[in-house]
Amino acid sequence: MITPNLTEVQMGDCGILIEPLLDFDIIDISYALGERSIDVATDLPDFAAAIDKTGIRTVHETDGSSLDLAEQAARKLLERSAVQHSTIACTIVVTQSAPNVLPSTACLLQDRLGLSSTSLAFDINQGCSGFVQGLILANSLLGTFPLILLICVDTYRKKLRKDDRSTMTVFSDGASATLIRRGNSNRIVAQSHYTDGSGSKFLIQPITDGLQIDQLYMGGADVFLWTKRVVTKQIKDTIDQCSIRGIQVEALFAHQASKLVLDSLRSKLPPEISMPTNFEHVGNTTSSSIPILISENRSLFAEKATMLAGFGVGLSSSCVVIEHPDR
Amino acid sequence: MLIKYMDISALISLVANALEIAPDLIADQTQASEIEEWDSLGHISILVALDEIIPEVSGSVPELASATSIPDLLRLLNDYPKSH
Repeated sequence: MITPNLTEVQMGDCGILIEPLLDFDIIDISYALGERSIDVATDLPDFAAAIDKTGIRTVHETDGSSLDLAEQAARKLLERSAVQHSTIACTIVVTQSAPNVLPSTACLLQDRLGLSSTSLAFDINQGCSGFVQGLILANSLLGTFPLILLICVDTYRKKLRKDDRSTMTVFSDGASATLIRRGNSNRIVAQSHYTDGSGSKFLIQPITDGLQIDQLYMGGADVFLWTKRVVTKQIKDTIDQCSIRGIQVEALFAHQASKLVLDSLRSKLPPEISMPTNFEHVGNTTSSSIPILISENRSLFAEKATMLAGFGVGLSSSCVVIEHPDR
Repeated sequence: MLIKYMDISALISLVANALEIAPDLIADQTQASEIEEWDSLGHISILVALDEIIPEVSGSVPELASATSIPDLLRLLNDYPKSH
């Protein structure tokens, strides 16, 4: 076991915490995308030229609510895993598309799914970094809650200006459901976080006058440069710190922002690190993008020392490195 | 690293190429708001194209993200050697 080094936590812009948490299993991951697949080239012909830049050929849109999508993903998961609903002790919902300002989506989902009324349920208001943060939080709660349902869901397409090529050709509506329990398959061996609220204006959906919810604004160039300057360094530093301690990161599951962002990140990383992508047919599903990517690349995730890296709205960026003790 | 002066015609050519439009649609004083393709996504393409000829310039000059015109871009690029 690597001894925690508290000095490191306090150092630098991207303090890297090397402190193993409880080992855990991911029993299963399922997901649901918006029921309407939009082919960017044919359904958004005015924006077709964007495909060369974003790499995204298909985005997915729902007429339903985020709660509906979350329920779909969770029901698939629960049916497939044959887990008794009553054994889920905690439900965490990561969303920025809650159907209500209050109550929380997690409470509504507890009712929809018929989960135990003695379980804990709460939301995290976070976007593209949300799965990583939710996973860390779930992991840290496993000592008390042995079986945790982690939901990520967003319906960003309802927030978009229809004439905004930069967002209409990128974001997809989607939900993921991840079931986590104590176990021996996975161990978080390092994590690092970066938060800079001064950049909140670059990706924001403001509420004006306390009542009117505006449409989403994304300063794509500012967010892109932030990922180049800060996120790439954070990821590289974390990989380097792990390497010094004998942990070789073999695969990176990065938030599926767009081709431009991922190409830039890829060019700065050692070529031997595998970096799967699925943005071309899934689009950017914000907090669900990493669990959907894991779901589509299960063996790579299970067999390799893996970094998960989520970054975006906040501005917020979180990385974890996961080893597999029983491999 | 010292960056050589970038002249206006080279910049216009680079921007036009990044936006995939004809260079004659862009002039010395063109504003982003005048070119449909120069939106948020187009601007990222300009930054990527700049990085290809001036390595890491977009990371070193974050103000480039907020540049809204050809004169803005030219000024920031030509200030780069002085401040970095």
